[in-house]
Amino acid sequence: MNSGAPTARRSGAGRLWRGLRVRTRLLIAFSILLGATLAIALVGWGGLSNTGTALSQFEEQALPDISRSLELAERTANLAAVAPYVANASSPFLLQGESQNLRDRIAKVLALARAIPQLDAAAPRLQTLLLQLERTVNDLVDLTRERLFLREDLRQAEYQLGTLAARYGSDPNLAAVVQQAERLMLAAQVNNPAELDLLQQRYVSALTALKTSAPEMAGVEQLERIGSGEGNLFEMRLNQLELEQRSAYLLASTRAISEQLSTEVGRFVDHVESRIEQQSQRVGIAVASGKSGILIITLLGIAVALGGIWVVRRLARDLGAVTRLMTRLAAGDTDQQTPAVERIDEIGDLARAFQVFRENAMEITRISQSLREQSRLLETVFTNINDGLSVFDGEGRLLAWNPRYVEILNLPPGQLKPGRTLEQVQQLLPKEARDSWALNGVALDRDEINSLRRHRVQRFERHFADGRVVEFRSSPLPGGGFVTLYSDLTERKAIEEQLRQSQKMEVLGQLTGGVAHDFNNLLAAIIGNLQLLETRLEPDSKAANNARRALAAAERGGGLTQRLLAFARKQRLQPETIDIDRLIGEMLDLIEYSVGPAIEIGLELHAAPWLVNVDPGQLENALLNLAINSAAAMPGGGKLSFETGHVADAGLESGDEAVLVRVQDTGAGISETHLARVFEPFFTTKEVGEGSGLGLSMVYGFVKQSLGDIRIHSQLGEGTRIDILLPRVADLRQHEVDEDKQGALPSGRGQWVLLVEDDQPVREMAEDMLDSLGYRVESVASIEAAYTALSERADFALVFTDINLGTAENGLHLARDVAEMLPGLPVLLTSGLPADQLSSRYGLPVGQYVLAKPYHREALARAVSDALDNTENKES
Amino acid sequence: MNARVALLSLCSLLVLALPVMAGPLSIGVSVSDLGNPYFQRIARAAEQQARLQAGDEVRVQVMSSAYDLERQAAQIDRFIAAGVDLILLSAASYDGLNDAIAKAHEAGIYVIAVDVQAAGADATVTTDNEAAGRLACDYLVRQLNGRGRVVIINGPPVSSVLERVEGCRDRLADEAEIELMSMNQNGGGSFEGGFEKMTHLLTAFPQIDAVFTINDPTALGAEQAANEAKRHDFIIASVDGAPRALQRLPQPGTLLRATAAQFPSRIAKQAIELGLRLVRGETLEQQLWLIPPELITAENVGEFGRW
Repeated sequence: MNSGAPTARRSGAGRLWRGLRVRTRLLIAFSILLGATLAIALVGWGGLSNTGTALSQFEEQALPDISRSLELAERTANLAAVAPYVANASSPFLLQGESQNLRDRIAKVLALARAIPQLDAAAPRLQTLLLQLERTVNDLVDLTRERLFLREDLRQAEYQLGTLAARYGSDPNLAAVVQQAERLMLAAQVNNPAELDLLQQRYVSALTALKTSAPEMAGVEQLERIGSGEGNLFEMRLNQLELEQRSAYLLASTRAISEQLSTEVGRFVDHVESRIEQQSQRVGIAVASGKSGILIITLLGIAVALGGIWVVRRLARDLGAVTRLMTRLAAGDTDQQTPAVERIDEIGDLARAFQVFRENAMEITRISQSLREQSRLLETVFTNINDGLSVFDGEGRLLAWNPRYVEILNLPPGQLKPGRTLEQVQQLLPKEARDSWALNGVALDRDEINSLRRHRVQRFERHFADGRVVEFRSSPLPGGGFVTLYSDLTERKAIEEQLRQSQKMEVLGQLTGGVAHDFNNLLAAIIGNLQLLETRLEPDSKAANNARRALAAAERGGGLTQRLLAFARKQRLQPETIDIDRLIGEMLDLIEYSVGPAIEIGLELHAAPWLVNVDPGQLENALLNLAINSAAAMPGGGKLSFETGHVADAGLESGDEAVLVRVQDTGAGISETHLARVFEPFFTTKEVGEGSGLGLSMVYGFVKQSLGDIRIHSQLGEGTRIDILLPRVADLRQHEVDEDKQGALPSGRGQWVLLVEDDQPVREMAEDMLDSLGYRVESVASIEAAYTALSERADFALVFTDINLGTAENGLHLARDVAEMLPGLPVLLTSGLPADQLSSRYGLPVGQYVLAKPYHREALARAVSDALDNTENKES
Repeated sequence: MNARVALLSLCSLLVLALPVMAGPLSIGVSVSDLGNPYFQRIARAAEQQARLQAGDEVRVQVMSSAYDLERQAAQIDRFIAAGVDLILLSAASYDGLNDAIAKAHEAGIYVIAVDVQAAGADATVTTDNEAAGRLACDYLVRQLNGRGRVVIINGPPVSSVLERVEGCRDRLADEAEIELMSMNQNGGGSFEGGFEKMTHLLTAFPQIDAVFTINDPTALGAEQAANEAKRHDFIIASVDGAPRALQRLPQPGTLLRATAAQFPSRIAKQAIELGLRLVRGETLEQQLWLIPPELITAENVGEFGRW
């Protein structure tokens, strides 16, 4: 198989073909198609004109031949048919017509025969026969004519005989004449010549006899003229019979000639037929050659067209591939190889252009993607920001807004449309919200602010009937118009207010805390000294009374200080896990006593079994305070109810579960302006001197310090409701039997106590107290002195030290050092500061017991005793 | 009959008034066809009238032309040679005998055209042929109730035939619903011709309602053809009043229903009368003498005798 060479040639040609531009390729294909079409047209044209020529030849030659031969055949056939008419013509007139007719026919056939050139060859005897026929027919016509005249002559004779017979028939003398006349009339009808001859003989003899017998007889002459003269009746009749015979012969001969003519014509027709056959064969050949030419070229054209279709299909396939790629690209699929990039024709151009286009498209997709994301982000922000947003154009027409805008401005839904003017939008606002207020509370002119908004940044507020305050922040846009941000300030304002309030409370707390601390020290000295003084005075003396009154006043001062501290959340609380219901139940008589009989007290206690961890004394104190406040609000009597219950979602710092204590009255209520301030210390609605103004603030401080919350609800004329929420705790109580702490004061047995106190009055007071309790005391004012004392002596049973010693080194340092150097020596700490401050300021360990200042003698006795006992227990 | 008696007496009067002549009067009669009874009748009537009006010694020579001009011309020549005084001529053609007639005139012979006109004749006596054609076709129209297909079997192109066909066509043309399908078939005025042409027409037209023939022999030939073809769906009217036609009219199953009768005796009588007047040197007040036809049908055939 040496197909290598052709394949190489083919592939070479293929390469050449593929190297051509598409346009060139299509042009070549179309040119070939055009050529093929032209060739078909030419061949068709040629074939058609050949056929046309053949047809016209056919028409020119064959058709006349056919028609002539047909005519010839018909006419020759007719000749024989017409001949008998001639022979049988009844009158000369008819004969004339028929014979003329027949002669015309013969003449026509002769003319026809002469007009057919091939006739001599095909039917040589035709002319001769026709001439013969003509002669015969002429003979026949002449004969017939003669016969007719003869008949007419006979009729004349008969007429004369008839006249003779009629004329003489009645005369008997002339009977012989009449008889002969009748004999003659009979002779005119006889068909047999022999009979005729017999009749003639008889007539001749009869006439001869008649002439001889009666020569002058009338009618004889006439009889003789008819029957015997030249052209007599017998001759005429005989002649007539002969003519009839000859006529028959001529007719037969006419027929015979006609038959021969028909045969001749038949030959000619055969001749014509064969010629026509030849002609039609020629036409058939011409048509067939034209057809086959057209067929060949059509096949060629189809082949070229198929080739063209193949080329176009390939092109379409490549184009389709690029188009599919573009479609897929349009659908977002960019990870595809571009086909046919290496081609050098238009498809290649398209593919390369497509590649560039694809890169551009990908770039555009990326950009538009990021734009879309940004725009989505912006739109999300626009729709979801907490603030309302509106954009007006340079002519004050609304362009865009977000849903929050409608909510914040409380605009009627559905009324807002793009293109609404600023004035129209403002008309939609509630009446009271149409006035603008500057941030410092000054009213602004609406029109002025509307025009200013277009040029400068504007900030102002509007107030709504429901108390909402909306801030407008309007900024002009670079292209004219302005954008405005609407913030609902209500909540922020409330929070700010709350913050301000708590800051105020904090400051108040710090202030009161500081004052109370110093006060405590003062009162501690006063009380201590007064107690010491009381023991030294005569019990019933005036001086003792004075001392007791002073002590009472000092103790009231101490109580006041405690309440201040309580508000400042700096009081020393002694929390216990308690059942509030029980606590309220136990203090009910106290409350009843406090509020007086005019007020009905209701209890609804459902807190159990939930427990709280609070200082029970302070809680009692707080409830009592609230009860007294309520009673004051109900001077004419009313109802005061205490309710407790569970709250599952209190939202306290320590947890959601809380016990609710609700104190509710039917009193006058508190005005809104007052309500914000009721927890401030020294805020009171009572006349000066009637209240301290510390009741509610103390309650507030206590609750807050107990990690709870207090809420007040009140409206003028509808009473007041105070809810206290206290965090629920688990029941960890040790049900130990409370030892009788009210027993005799534990007293010392002359043990040495090292007292460290920088404040001299307090130091002296404490020294005296310890001394009165049976202890021996060495007191120092500083920590250095304490170290000296401890190093000089070793018989101290207890170190009793203030924490705050006014120096860097404090009581806690001392306690630490003592524990290190002299383990077993107990240290009792004291301070006027609350535990939390001690731990934050001095790092007091949790659980460390500190004796709170100011302390009573009993508290001191127990604390010292406990400290000593603990040491003894440990040692033992 | 009264009419005849009257005529006869009138004739006798005329005979009496006849001037005495040099020799016996000689008359030549040339008719078209002695095979046709009509012409026989004309010839005989002419002979009788001549004898009646001019005496028994009148010589009458009767010849038949067989519609052949040459033969008729020869006959006229023979009349001239025989020295006749008067020729009654049934011309084979209107103007085919000019020379012969002129020769007769030169010989001092008067020529009276009978039955048909002839150019140059001294007088013409014919049936009113147009009226005859109209009469016959009026009968057909009436029988068809003015509606149907009609054919005409024509005859030789002589004036009498042309006028009959003209009269018939005039009458047919008055009827919108009469369809004249053929009028060119020339039956030659003979039985055989009628037979042949009717055969033609029966073949050509599957439906024919009525036939007009130019004379009775043609009509009888046509009827014979119809009988042969077994077609009896039409009627025939004709012109002549020939004895055979009159015989046929009252017969059952006849197709021939009417014929506009000519009166050959009257024609012959009139012609002889006129001829004698001319011979006597009188002048005639008119050249054309028309004898009115009468329609004969089965109803009134009994009122007519033979010609």
